Amino acid sequence: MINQLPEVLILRIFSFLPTKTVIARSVLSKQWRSSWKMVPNLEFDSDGYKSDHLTFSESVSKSFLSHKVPVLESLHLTFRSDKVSPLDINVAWVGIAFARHLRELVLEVHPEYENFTFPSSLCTCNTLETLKLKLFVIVDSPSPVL
Amino acid sequence: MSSNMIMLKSSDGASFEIEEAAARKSKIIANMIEVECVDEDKAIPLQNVTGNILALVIEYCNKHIVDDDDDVATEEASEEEEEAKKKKVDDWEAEFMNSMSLETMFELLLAANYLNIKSLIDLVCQTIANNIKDKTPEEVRKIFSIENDFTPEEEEEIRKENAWAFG
Repeated sequence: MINQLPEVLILRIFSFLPTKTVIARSVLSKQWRSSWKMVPNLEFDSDGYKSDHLTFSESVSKSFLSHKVPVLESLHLTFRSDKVSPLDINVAWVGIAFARHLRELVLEVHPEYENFTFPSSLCTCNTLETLKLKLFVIVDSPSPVL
Repeated sequence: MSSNMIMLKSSDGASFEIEEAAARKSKIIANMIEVECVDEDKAIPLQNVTGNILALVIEYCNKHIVDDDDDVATEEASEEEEEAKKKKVDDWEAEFMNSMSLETMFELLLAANYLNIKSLIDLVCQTIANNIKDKTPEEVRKIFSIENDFTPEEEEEIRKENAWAFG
């Protein structure tokens, strides 16, 4: 039945799910395998992350790279265990955010990282409309602030 | 407030009378009213929506038009009042969706999409998402009648590729 829904509606349903769940749904059928790559919002949370050979940031990067949507409406990243580090948000991510015309970035960093500095190069992403920083983030913004 | 009534006719021939203000929740019907395609004595035929689904759509629109009117009347309402009102709507929506089978949800979603009622599309999508969130792939396949067209080897490969997502 859900396969009879137009893809735009399937994607809308997916957009209400955490990205991890959407990726897990890629195993359902061939059609669903690639659907998640067109969901316009991504949400990753390090809570409960488990993998033998990839770090949380590596997995996020990998998903990020295979994602195909032309305009990424929002990216929500939460770092909350001491096994992962927001310091892994690297230049490559910034490049991808630019290429995908990112519009909203929500970054949530929990107290284990007292000195996480927000990559100021992201402030120049000109498609970015909303930036939400939660908890412990230091912003080293380029001057003057626009 | 306009109390003009208009008639809608479902694909199986049932007629429904609805306030124009409520019908305008549908962008398609609002456009028809704008370009004066609506004849007062004639029902608007909706070929893709059956009577039982149209009744649900109308119930939703009626509920939400009342809320919109409240907004205008109590512009200076306090924050608590706003919150209480929002909670009332949320509770009503939860109850409304709760009474529905998945099959009905899909039909309602298709109707909301056809009639272009964005808030209803989002409400149904959110509810369906909650329904599949904690299910195993096998359960989800069954619920949505999805045929597994992978060989066991291919499926294993996909699970390995994104092992973290299956944890």
